[in-house]
Amino acid sequence: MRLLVRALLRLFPAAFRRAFGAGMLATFDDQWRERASLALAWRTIADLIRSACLLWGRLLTCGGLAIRLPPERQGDNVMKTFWHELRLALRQLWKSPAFAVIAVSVLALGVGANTAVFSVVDAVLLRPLPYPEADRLVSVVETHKGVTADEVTLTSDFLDWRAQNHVFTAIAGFTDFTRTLTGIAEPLQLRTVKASADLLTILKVQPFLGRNFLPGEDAKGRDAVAILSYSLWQRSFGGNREVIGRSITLDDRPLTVVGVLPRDFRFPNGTIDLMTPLGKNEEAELKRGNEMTIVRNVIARLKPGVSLAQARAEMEVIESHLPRPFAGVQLSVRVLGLQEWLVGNVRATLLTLLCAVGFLLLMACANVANLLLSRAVSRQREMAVRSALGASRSRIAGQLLVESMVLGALGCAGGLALAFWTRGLLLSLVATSGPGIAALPLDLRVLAFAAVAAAASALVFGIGPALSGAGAPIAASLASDSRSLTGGARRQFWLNGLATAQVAIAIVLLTVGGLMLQSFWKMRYRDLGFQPDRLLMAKLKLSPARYPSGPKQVAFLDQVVEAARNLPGAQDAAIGSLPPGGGHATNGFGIEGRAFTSGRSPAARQCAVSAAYFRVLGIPVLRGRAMAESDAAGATPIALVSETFARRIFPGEDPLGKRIRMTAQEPYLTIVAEVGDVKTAGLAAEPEPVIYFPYRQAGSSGDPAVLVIRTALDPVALGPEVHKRVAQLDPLQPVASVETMEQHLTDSVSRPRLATILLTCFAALGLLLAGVGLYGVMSFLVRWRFREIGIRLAIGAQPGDVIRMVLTRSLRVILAGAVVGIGGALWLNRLMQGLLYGVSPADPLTFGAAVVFLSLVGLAASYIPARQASRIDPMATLRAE
Amino acid sequence: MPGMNGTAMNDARTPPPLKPADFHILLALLEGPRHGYEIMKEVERESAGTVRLEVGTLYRLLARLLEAGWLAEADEDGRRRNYRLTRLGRRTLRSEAERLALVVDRLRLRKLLPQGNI
Repeated sequence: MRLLVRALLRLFPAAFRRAFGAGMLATFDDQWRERASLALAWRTIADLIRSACLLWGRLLTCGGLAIRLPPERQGDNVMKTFWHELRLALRQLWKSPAFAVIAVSVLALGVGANTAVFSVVDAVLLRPLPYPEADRLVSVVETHKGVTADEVTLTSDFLDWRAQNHVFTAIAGFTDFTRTLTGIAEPLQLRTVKASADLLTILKVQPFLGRNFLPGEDAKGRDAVAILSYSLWQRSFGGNREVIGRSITLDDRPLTVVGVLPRDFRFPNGTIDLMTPLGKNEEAELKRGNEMTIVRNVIARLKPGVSLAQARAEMEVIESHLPRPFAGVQLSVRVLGLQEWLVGNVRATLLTLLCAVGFLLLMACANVANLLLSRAVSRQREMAVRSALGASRSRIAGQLLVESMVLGALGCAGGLALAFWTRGLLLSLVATSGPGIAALPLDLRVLAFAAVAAAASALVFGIGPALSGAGAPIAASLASDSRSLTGGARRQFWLNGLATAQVAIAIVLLTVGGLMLQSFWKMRYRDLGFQPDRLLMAKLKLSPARYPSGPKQVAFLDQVVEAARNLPGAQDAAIGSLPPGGGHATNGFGIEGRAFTSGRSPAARQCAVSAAYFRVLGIPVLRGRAMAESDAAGATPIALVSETFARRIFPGEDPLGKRIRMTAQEPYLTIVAEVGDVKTAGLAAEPEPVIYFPYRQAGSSGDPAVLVIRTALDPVALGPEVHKRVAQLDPLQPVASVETMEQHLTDSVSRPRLATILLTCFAALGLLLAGVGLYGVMSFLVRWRFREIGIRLAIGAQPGDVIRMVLTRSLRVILAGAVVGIGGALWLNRLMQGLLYGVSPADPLTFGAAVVFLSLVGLAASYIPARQASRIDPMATLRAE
Repeated sequence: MPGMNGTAMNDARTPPPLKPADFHILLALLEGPRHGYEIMKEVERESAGTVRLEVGTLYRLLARLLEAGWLAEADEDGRRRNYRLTRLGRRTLRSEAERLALVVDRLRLRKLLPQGNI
């Protein structure tokens, strides 16, 4: 409630707020402490809004808060006066339902869109993470400049950080894996994480049942324990408390369940079914030999009194003293607040969205102001009568503002309803891209935001009409008949200004939407490096016990590929160890003729594939020969490398015929071809070097194996068939996941997708509002010049001339708005440079299209009043004179 | 017309009748400085619940009375600022009370109100 009062204080004129704001808040606090009740809340809200209106009314009409004692009686019963004003306002709206419906829906649209976007921003950026003292949590990541854009940490470095730092109470690493749980009703593929024993301590989370990992269990060989998530415990173990101490089988390895996580616990980066200890061979890692592994995420808790900057400084010192394992690779360390790390990539997107949606609200305000101004014309006599009967100018302005507030309140209610209904849709869009958002609560904060947005809008759109309504000279208004409009020129200036502003904002929104769409399209369909349509991907996690690397695994995978190829609707199928663009370039390799001391070698992604892989995905072979079925176990070992690999590892040289090997124990592979780059993970990022080699020669397709199937029709239908076929081949081997390439891409380019969909919607709404705005202005123009047009028609003007006159007028407004809008868009769109891919923020095509499109819509909207004007009956006009 | 009544009614410097809310705010400060919430409670008590000020209106009126020079800001304790009557304010209150007393006298004469203390 206090928050709401504080928000409502924003409505007051600044000078007043400065003088009395603190006192008002203190007084309200006292009052609330003594007798908090819903009635008091309502009274206070109504009173604050009313007082703000009255003060603004006085400010506007007296030109300052210079306060004299008005003769009218007021303030003796707040609720009574307010209800009276409210009833008056409602009656006014009731009398013109068309106006009310349009104004309220336009406002509802603006407020609703803002509230919805704010609820996302609030959930992602503003709310603390769901852990105690979450602001003390940091993420520590290592960057490997020169090898990979991915942020992963070498286990050895993580261990050294842990041993040497003095700034963290504890530091923990974790890496997620997909693993298979067997020994229950049917094999289950789980999202699991290997995590340091310290992780839960750092997050200050206690297991719901059982215990946390013990420090000693982090070591390899002693890590045969597991903690279940609450939902897995409920789903697969029926919520039985006896589960503690029970043995389960994960990837054919027996583990003992030692704990269950609390129900509302969420991992920093998403939902996890099960966790096991990190399980690293720490001694071997610290030797930094061939056994090097990585940790995907590292988080830590700052010691009390240690600042982020101090932690950063100390970690940089530690990092600079660590041994460098690879030549030519620059390691550096980044320490970020955990929340900042989690939302880092989303921030720019969300702020752009908030900006765009704010513009939309401005447009809605301009539209309503438009409507109010034209309406003021018909109410001029009413105002003059009230004024003549003794209402002061401030009172009339106040009353007009109360009417605006009523519109604002109705719009706010409509907007909240809109935000509420679109919440599910928005959540489904956000959930795929945001860091672990489970819900978008419409709570007090969001409500307060909507209320303030609506109230601020009401003030924005209410001020112009209130000024002009209260300022009308009485005698002139009363004397003139209803068709001669005093103050028309001034109003027309306002209206033209508003329409120009709307066109300008619409241009900004249209260009933003257009740029996003283009960028998304390019990212999605043009520059991937392979053909994404009609592709199905199935991940198999091969059980290491039953399918160890070697002929047995190859034979099984051959069967799987063959079965997939024969599925009805399948055109071709292949197998690879990574989905296109997946994996990390962290595996080192050796090059014949170049000496690297042990472990100091360049790195690349390594992908074991079947010969059909390139054909199925449509990855072009740029030079050399394609991989063939005959490149099997007995033949000369070969490799294919990606374009980036060739450019980076063999600059200025021909890679074909060069020989490379993965480890010193393995034979050299001859490079026989250079193939195209594939980008999926981060399309905006530079592609990483990749080595492809035949899985038959490697004796393994790696882990997990990815089956890719090109289909003739929609690949979704094939999903269940894949499950069935694999189950026929081996009932104990589950298929980890089946997804279409579209879905896979969506996951990796989903952030642009959210922004693209929303910004396109905003652009469409902007276009609509600009159309409505122009329609309003042109209708007013026609009404204002009703007699003039009638006379012109009477003395021989053709209807076509009248239409041309109105349209010319409209076009002038549109062009003025376009000039302002283009300027604004050029300036603003720089902000979204980071969100765009392959499109310049000043793309002339987009700008041109936006102007043309908007002009067409604007002219179409103006055509309606233009035609009305051309049909004015000259005789009727003249008779009325 | 000579006499007290005449001066009260015809003196050009006499302010117009006070509004009840203003009157009650001034009345509430008669016994000494008070802060916002105390004024609010005192007004409600003094007026027997007929005048009820919410926080927005209270401060709007306080601003007006300060501007008119009838109130002044007194000392501050913590976040709460106290307000006190000025001499002008006291005079205004007094003349309003006299005006009301006069009205009451007249109504008594016309038997609308009972005789004696009410």
